[in-house]
Amino acid sequence: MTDLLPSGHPRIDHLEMRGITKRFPGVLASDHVDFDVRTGEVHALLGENGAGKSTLMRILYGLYQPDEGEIRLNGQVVSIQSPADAIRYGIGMIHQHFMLVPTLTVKENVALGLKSSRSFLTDLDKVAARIEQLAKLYSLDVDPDAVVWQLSVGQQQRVEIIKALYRGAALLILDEPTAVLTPQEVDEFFVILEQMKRDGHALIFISHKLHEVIQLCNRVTVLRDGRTIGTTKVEGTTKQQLAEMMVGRPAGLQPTKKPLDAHEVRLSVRNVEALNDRGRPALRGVSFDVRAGEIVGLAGVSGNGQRTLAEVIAGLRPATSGEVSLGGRNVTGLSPRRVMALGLSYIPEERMRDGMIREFTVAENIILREFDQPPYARSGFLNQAAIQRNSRELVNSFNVKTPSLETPAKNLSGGNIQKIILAREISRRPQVIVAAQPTRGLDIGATEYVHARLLEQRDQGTATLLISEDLDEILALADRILVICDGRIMGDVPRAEATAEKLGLLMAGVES
Amino acid sequence: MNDSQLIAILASIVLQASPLIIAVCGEILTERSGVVNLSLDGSMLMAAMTGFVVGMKTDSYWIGFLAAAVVGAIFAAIVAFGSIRLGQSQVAIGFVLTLLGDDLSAFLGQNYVRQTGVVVPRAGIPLLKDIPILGPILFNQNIVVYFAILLIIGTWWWLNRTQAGLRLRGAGERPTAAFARGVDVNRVRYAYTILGGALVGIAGAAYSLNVKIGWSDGHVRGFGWIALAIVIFGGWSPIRGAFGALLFGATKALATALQRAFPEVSVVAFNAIPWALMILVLLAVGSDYTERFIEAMPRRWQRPLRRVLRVSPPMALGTAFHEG
Repeated sequence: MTDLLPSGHPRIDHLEMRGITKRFPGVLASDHVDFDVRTGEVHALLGENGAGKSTLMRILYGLYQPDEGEIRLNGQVVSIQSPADAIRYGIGMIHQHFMLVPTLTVKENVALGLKSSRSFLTDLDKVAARIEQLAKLYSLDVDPDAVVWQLSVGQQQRVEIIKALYRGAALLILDEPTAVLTPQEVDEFFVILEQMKRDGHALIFISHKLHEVIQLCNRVTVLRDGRTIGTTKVEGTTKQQLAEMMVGRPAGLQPTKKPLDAHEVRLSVRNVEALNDRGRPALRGVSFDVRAGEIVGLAGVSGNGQRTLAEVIAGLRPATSGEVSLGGRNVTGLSPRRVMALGLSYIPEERMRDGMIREFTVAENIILREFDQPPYARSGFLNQAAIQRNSRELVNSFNVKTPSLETPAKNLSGGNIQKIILAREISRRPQVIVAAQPTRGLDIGATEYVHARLLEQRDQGTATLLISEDLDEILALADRILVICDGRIMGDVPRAEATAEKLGLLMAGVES
Repeated sequence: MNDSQLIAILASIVLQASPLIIAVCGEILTERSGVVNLSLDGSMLMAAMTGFVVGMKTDSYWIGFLAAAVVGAIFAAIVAFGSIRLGQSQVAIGFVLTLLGDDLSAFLGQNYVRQTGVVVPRAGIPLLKDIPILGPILFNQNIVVYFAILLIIGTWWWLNRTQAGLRLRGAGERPTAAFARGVDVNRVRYAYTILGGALVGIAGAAYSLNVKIGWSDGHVRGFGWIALAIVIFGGWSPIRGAFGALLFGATKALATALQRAFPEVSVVAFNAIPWALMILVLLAVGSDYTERFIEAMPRRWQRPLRRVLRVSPPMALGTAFHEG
């Protein structure tokens, strides 16, 4: 191996972060964290939300300054004051939310903020030539003239990698890079990363998906509550061990499911078509049934009509044609209130926006659904005693961690907010649950809790539609899996026949 | 109407449109960086008054323009400071400044109403002005018109052909992405808001020193709003914006001509024509109906039509940007 990378830039042999401490007002985000990465390896940084992964990487990329600790690059202590410094040292970052300007072309995005060979004039032809050269060297298929918003998510990610390589990145920080990809795109992406690893790049892979860490990485460092729990070789480590390191107690086991005991159709969707916010067709003739006692998973890449479908079923968005029935009764066009009264529970995707009122207290949010009915209401007035008693009960039985019932909901963590929504939505024995991305952004503990509750509802005979972009979640919970792509149901696969590969093809719109 | 009359009308449309073109280019630079300077109507009034008075006192229209540019830049700087530094609403600040400029110009300019000052002299460009038709329309004008024409090309070129233009567009479309690429988004926004404001100031003086010479209470009232509307109509492109300004000038000329032809109809009715057209265009451009109209056209026309008719503002227009 030479000291130069295929891109012509020098390698980073060893990067070390030692005793990194970062305090924010009231929080110790990093507590003497040690981390290192070498050329030719993928080092995973694993941890729950709030474990300190992002803080650590933001320090490495110059976005934050550490209060204590040092960064050594090839043995030399360096000071990284800004992203510009990081880039100068050969450190690149692929952000989870792509840092691309959608209305510009690929080459313009690459040229943005760089020095041009024609001083103040753009040198887009030269940039394009270099992009093509890098694309060839790293097997990244990218058209320099394409406008970014027209590219698929996978292609946009390749543009991000090209951007980093263009600037001479020898070390790449990959912040949850697979969160937005289909399984096939993940596979292609891993091939690219494997090649970069062989070529001598150092890669840091931030994730909470254990199987990806095991598939791709050489070493893994686990963070919890801002501290390093340990660094270990991935070889010979199991998912369970990693999960336990992450949460500090036995975890990460597949939820146990009772055999399927499905009954009558509770939710029926027939030839539904609907428009999205921009007035474009988002659902193109969607039909399916959900039976009592089963969980039907709706898999798909983000933005293929899932949100529109959930909103149509909940009565929040009109269907332009087709029919939705609940327990055999046509509910198309009824108001959300009527649909809920007929037995629908809706766990919305945007829980902070659609699932609750942020400024309201915990108790007020719990009664939001039935505030005007007994026992919460008495002759048009709120019955505070009953509200206090019932919300206290629900807060206890759903393990909501809150300072008090009078705390504004916005002060709680995502997991506790989701528990409040669950408490409100499922405590009244619904006929049908529509759960959209119910565990997005939650930590392992809260995720397991939500899963257990959904399975409990299933066993009690509720019909559940689980809309999720997390294929692992769908595979863990669903009895039957629908795949949506571009507003059409591409397939209806029984759980026993479902594999990530098969679903991935359907998610990408390939007819089976 | 003979040819020379038509050419005279066209030349006058170009002259009438020149201040609007300057203001539109200035506001496009500002808005493409992500800031709305809504104070145009007020700052143009202040700049028109200042330009006229300073020109008169110094007996130099150059110094008048300079003073007007400074006034426009100050108004814009207030918008920039209030929104970027103080985190206030760009729209609210712009509105208040509009009202302020209107009243302040009336107050400060009250002693200069209907006085004679300096004017920009006609200066035909040798050779070019002798080109048939185009010569008299475009090149037998004066420095203000030439500046407007150069500004259209210059703005387009700056936006599309320079590194600085790329940074400017990045800051207005997706500031977080631009910032991650080392662009100092807020500095870019300050710079283009102030530059755009200076151009708006020059546009104000282009009225009082060239197109609508002199000063009176509310001398150029309404033209700032027109310029803001043309920026939208022009889809934030200087070339389409200039076209919009000329179209507006043409409808005004048409209204004048119609008025002569039908003297029995009220003056007010004809004066309203350009505004009504403006509203129609604003409603149509970028709406659902435009898209349906485009989709009804033959397939090979759709792409060019969409380029001309579809309008989308800079994605981060009017939003604050915070680092980190």
